[in-house]
Amino acid sequence: MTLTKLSRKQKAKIKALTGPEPLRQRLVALGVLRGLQVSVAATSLLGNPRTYYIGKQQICLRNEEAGYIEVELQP
Amino acid sequence: MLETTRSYTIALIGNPNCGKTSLFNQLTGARQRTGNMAGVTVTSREGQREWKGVDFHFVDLPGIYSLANSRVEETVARDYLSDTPPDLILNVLDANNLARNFALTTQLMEQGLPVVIALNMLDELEKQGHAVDLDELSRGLIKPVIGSDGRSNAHIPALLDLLLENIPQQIDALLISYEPHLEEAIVSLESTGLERWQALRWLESAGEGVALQSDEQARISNQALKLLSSRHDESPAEMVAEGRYGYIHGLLHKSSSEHQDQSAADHWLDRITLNRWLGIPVFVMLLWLMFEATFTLGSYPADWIDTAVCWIGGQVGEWMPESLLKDLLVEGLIAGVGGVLIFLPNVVLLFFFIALLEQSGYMARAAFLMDNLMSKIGLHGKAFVPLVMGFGCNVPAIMSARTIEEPRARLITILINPFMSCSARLPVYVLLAGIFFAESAGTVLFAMYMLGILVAFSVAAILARTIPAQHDETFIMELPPWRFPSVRSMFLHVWDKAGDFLHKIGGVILVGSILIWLLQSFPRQGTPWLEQLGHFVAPVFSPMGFGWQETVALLSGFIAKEVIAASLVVVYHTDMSDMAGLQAAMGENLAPASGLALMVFTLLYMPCLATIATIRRETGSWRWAGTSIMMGLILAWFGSWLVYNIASIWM
Repeated sequence: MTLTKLSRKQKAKIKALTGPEPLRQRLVALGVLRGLQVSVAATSLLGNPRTYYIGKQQICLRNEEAGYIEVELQP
Repeated sequence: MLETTRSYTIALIGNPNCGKTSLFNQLTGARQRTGNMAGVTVTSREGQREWKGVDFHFVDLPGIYSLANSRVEETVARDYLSDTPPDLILNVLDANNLARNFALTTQLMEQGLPVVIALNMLDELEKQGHAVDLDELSRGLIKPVIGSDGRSNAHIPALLDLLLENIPQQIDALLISYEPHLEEAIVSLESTGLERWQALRWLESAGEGVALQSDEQARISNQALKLLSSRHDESPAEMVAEGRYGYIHGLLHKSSSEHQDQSAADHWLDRITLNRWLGIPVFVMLLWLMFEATFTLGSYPADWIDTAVCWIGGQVGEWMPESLLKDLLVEGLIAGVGGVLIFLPNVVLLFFFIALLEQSGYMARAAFLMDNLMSKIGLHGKAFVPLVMGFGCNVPAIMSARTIEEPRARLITILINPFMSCSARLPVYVLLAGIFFAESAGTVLFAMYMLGILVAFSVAAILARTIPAQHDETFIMELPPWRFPSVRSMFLHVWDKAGDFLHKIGGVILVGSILIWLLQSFPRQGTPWLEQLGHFVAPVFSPMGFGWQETVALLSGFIAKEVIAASLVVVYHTDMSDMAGLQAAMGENLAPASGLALMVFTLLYMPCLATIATIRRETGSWRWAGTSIMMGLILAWFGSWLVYNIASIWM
């Protein structure tokens, strides 16, 4: 599943980054990497964008971009 | 001066929000200036510090995450390092997110650059019960590592000593071993004459970060990249990052007590400010508070300045003999410059609050809240803040658009900003609404602001569809942790802005005031040029029912919109205190529909001189300043014509 499908209180691990090369480079530069734990931090009024805790940081992503991040649910 | 002093250049590099600029302020104090990096409008600061007989020249480069990306700031930093290599790099790291911050450090070290590492905000980390062994870290990196804090200057002498000891620095480029297939690609790129770090950068930027020299080099490199891509799903950027993070985690495992990932950013403030339902109401309330405080607190010192200016004018008027020079001083210089000087407290306060929002970390949160609305008109959430600031004054608002990284979004934000009705236009509305719509003046006033917002958003939507995007507009933003702002940094920031404002008064407004005075005062006999000009230009405005008086007022408003109301008073030969007389005179001369049209024209027409100068400076070209003028004039003319004709039917 992609990061957009992740609901509040769920935890997941990043499985893969897809999408255009510049986006992947940008995510990597921000430290968004495979294997990191993610969870939803905040949702804006209309549900897009959302912020996520990724590793130690809080990152704001529009759903358009979050859809390129593949995750798998963690217990 | 027999002894020549040694002087060294030191560049500060670090991630955004790592506290780099606060540290820079501690290092240099007030001896600094802002400059634009060559060719682009990314600002860098430079400052001096003398230490033990050595002159340090500090350069604060824009905050970046990586040297390999093609964003403007990153290109600027990369070019700076290759074109004018500093004697030493001070790499500033946020101790609370060491792994991510070290990714940039490894890039610098792989390139074999002289580096000193400062761990910022170590105290925050220690408060949470974590520790970093600086000696162990330093041994692991074979680079000097020191703790620092942008909020106190206790660490500064030790830091300066350390910088001094490290020029020149013994350098061995860092060697990280990567995944075997990646290593293979690196080796084949190296065989074409590239250095290892160049090969890495070329691969991680998928062929953009390094310019290749020959076709042969390009052929081999592309072949290696293609082979690598066919072997792995991950992009080379990810593979390089994984290698670096592997090295970093090994390093931190030995020296840092906290190596498992956890969300330190979690904070109760976020629960309120980012709340799905509360977030926007809280944001609106904070903005309202900010403006309320800006204008109420600012009005006291503004009154003092006003009194002082009047006193000086009175003194000069009393003691100078009757002459042309006296008129120039009193009616031109003192009235003109003084009239703008009274806005200094408002400007300073507004900047204080905005710096507070920025340094505390709230600005990024506001951008998140407003993003959805702004995306409808091709802008980022980040663009909302400069627009709101425009209600105060467009000049600082346009300057604050620097916080928007994407060039097109920044340009649009700058160009639509003049439609946000600044405080200088308020007197005109109050005057005219009082004359023509006394019963519903408040509603008319509110309608003007709403019309301004509507026009701004419409123009933005059109511009977004006409200006080509320079690169894709992804909105990926780190929300920095909440922080208590550094007093010194806030003070320096406000000081800097006040200086900018005074500089503007001493330049553009001074010259403009003299010009208007000249036109009003000459020729000494007969019709003044300003009135002649009014009659000459009046036909342009006759479709809206404006007379030469309104024409002159609008022309003079080009200098500063505050002047419009004052000009109306002067040309109708009344006194500011005699409002009833002015109202009677204007009410007789102008139809209510024309009054409304005049308000609309004032709202929309070309920005004042200072705003145009700011647009020119911030966009780096007269083309956009010209566009802004033309756009404003055309919209104002048609807008007020439309309003005049529609209102004429109703009234």
